[in-house]
Amino acid sequence: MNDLHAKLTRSFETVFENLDPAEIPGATTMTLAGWDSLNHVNLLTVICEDFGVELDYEAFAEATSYAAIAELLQAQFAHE
Amino acid sequence: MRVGEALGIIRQHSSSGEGRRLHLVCGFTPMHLATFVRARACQRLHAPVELATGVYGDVADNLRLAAESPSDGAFVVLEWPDLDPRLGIRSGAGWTTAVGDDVTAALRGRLDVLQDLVTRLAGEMRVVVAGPTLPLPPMAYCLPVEAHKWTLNWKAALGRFIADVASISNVRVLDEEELARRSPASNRHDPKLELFTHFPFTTEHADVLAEAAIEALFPQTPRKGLITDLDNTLWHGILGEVGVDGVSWTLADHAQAHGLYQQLLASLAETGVLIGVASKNEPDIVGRAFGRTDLYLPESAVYPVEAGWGPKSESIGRILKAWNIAADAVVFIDDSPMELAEVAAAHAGITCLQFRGEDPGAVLDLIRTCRRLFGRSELTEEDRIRVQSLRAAPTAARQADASGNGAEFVAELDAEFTVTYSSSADDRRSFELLNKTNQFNLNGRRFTESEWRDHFRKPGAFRVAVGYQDRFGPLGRIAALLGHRSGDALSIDAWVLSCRAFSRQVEHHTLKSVFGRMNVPYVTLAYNRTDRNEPVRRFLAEIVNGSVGDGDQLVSVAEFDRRCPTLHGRVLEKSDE
Repeated sequence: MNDLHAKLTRSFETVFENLDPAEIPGATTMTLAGWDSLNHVNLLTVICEDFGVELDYEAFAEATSYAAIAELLQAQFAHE
Repeated sequence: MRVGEALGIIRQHSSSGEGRRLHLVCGFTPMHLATFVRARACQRLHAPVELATGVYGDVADNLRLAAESPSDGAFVVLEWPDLDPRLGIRSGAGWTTAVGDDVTAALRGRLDVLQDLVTRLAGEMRVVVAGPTLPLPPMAYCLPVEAHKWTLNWKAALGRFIADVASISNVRVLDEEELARRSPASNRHDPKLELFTHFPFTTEHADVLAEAAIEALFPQTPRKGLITDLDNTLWHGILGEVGVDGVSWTLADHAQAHGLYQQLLASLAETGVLIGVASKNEPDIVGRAFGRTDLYLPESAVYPVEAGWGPKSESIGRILKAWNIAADAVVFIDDSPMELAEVAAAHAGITCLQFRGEDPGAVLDLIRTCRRLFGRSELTEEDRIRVQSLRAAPTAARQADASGNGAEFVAELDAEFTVTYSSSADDRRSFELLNKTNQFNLNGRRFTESEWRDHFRKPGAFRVAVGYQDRFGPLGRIAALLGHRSGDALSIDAWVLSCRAFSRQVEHHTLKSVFGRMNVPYVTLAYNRTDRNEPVRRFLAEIVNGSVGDGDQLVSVAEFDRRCPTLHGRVLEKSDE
């Protein structure tokens, strides 16, 4: 679980420049400047690259916070 | 390259000096393609890169926007839906025969509009165009193995469009065969991503396109010379064992791989690449072998030929000296890994490639590698006369030494200077000379495409190109100068002279011509000292009153006339307007 959060944090840092690490766990599309539709797709792609998984676009589109994405990944790994 | 890596590269370069501006023109959402184009451009230019992308869904309007932008170059990606939205999987217009026929009828008109817009864009910056890289949707009613008349007509219209666009000055078209080698057709399209986000490419294909576009927009400086071994490389067989008539390179002799290689070298020589030979052989037998009239590589295309029994690295050292170029501008090809290693150890930067005549596939790969290393988009007159002028150089140098008096030697050269004035940016040779000349370079300034074009938008801007020939033959255009005039004030902003034309009074004739043509009492030279432009400082010291400090130098026509040595040769002034 800790490994998932550490990796997901790195994915966020890759996509969003100058991000305060403390800000990441509570990040949402509303709180994070630059989390627009383009960076949402960038984030999806970088997470897929970092985790070696394929995520469903529709489900990811609904995941608009760090917590929701972490939950999506946990569900994906539990399913596998 | 992965998206995460590309984002990292962009970030690394975000604060590393002056930025460059590019434009990506496409009808789909640019997404990862934009990320990869920026990252590949940052890597190539070692600078931050801003990328403008225009508006979604309208490639024609994006072409107009790009033409009005201050970018250094544009990458135009046209997919089938950009030619007609009905040719995309996001369309709901139907796949009836009426629709297919209507697309056929409308396509040519759409392509004509796009061609006009690409032409306009290319008037402002270098443009790279990629034709449709994704398949057409399965619209036609026939079996998938059959080519339908619709698709044949659409592809024929597209082929004519691409050929026309490729002939526009300043436009490069990406080669579909090369793209297919790097990005197989089966791994290009991501239909789900296209439907979900209107971005149609897999990340792998987007990266291949971006890499190819940057390669074409900002090509590496081509290598200048190729040194080849002879035995079991230029031809099959060992000359000393089988004799002049025993070596072979033809299909009939099962040695066609060597024949292909000879054809490559002949083709490279025609484009101005210097071809030399380093062979462990008796010079006499090599001379006789080059006398064979059935060689695909004529002897006239080869200079110099170093045949002997010393180490190859020493032969190559002599060839580099004769060519007056550095090892990193040269490729050495030999069948022996040992010889390649010996040369690589002695000449840092030289590119060593093995010729494996027993494997035709490896030879074709080697030929493709050479095309990549020596590739150039355009040929100039200077490319064609390079070998001729190099062959003449040692004779000229010997006669100069023998005369012991530089002035007398110059007086006897029977030189002709062609000084051409223009206010247009259309001179690739001058642009390249300014961007590659180090020694006689007024201030070391380099120009991007947009800076080059900006110069000619200044009021009173002009350029001068100087061509030279003497009794040893032509050197082509060997000097370029940029300046601008405002009333009586004349400034020279950039000025370069190829080192091949040193000690020929080219710089004196050029300045004298500029004074005469512009009829001004003074000229300001935007001089800056660099690590390598000592020849400029020496010239200035000769013509200005006082010592040469860093910064602008004011030269008066009176002072120049007083200090200028007696000039020899004929000067022809022309205007390019």
